[in-house]
Amino acid sequence: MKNHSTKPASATRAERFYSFLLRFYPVAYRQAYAPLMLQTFRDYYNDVQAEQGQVSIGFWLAVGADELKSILREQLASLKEGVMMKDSWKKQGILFGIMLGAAQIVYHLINNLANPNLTLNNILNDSIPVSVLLCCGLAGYFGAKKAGTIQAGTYAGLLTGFISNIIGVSALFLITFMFMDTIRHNTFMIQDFQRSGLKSMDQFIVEDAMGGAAVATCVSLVLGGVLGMIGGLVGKKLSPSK
Amino acid sequence: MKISTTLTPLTPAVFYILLALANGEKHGYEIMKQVKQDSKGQVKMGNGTLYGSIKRMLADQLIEAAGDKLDPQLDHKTRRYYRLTPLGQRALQAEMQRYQEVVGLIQTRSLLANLA
Repeated sequence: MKNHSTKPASATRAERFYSFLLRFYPVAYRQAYAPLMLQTFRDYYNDVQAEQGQVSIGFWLAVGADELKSILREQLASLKEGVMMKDSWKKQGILFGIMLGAAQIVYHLINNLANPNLTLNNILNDSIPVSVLLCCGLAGYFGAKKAGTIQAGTYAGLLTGFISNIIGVSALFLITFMFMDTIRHNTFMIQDFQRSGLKSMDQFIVEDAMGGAAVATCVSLVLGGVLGMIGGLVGKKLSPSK
Repeated sequence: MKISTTLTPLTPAVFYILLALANGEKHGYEIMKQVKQDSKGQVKMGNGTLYGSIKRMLADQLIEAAGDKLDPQLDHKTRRYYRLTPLGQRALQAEMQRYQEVVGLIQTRSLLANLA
């Protein structure tokens, strides 16, 4: 083993050239391995120079071929990883959006069609915020954990809110128009109608549904984004690609 | 043994790196030299291949970083050392066992003599 304390000019030039080659690796890879690779190259170059007196063209051809192959492989891997990370928030958003949408369908069905019951009504009204909190927060958490960014968590939460809202609002209007007669006889609906001062029960039911849809749209998007971001904060902390 | 069998057969690069680390922790250049020596010069692992393999082996938890230390035989710069994980040891063992079985089969069937 040689002592490499003195550095000839050719070694400095070689290191500069090798550092230049390292620039072609993906940023994350370069940050993790470029200093280590440069040190290993330095050791290798110094040994070859000490053993052979000078470094041949064959050395550079071998180094160039290996680096070219490795740069291509790492760039491809980085591209693949990037696509996977890009997609991860979409997957979480779709999955939790469908789950929250299903919860909203159940909510609208019970709320409009079940026999009026104050306890059930209270449970129902409490269950929706809890479901939103869980679904948007978890979407954000998993989205950020996989991608390693809070932004991915926020997007996952927003997508959850958006998808669940489309499902929920569609279900609300479908139930409203399909079961108009049943809703007309709902005790809570009758009480609300009497308080509204409107003359037509059907108009009240449609307006009530439209109001509910508008509020749900705003709330689901805002809460989706905020909760997704909070979930994302936790997820990013636990992300392996942090 | 279930985990090991999912990791085998190993690529030549991964196998030789595991083999190089079987006798203790080493830094990048030591691994490179050990691979060349173990393969009798058949496997000349370049820097790019070495660190690409190290990256994947770290992700697969076959090896782990053992810290940055000085190499007393080289200059006064620190180098990152790597060592086998228990999973890496199991994977290497499973691969060597696979090789041994192949060698046994070759001997049983006298395949080398037939080919010669």
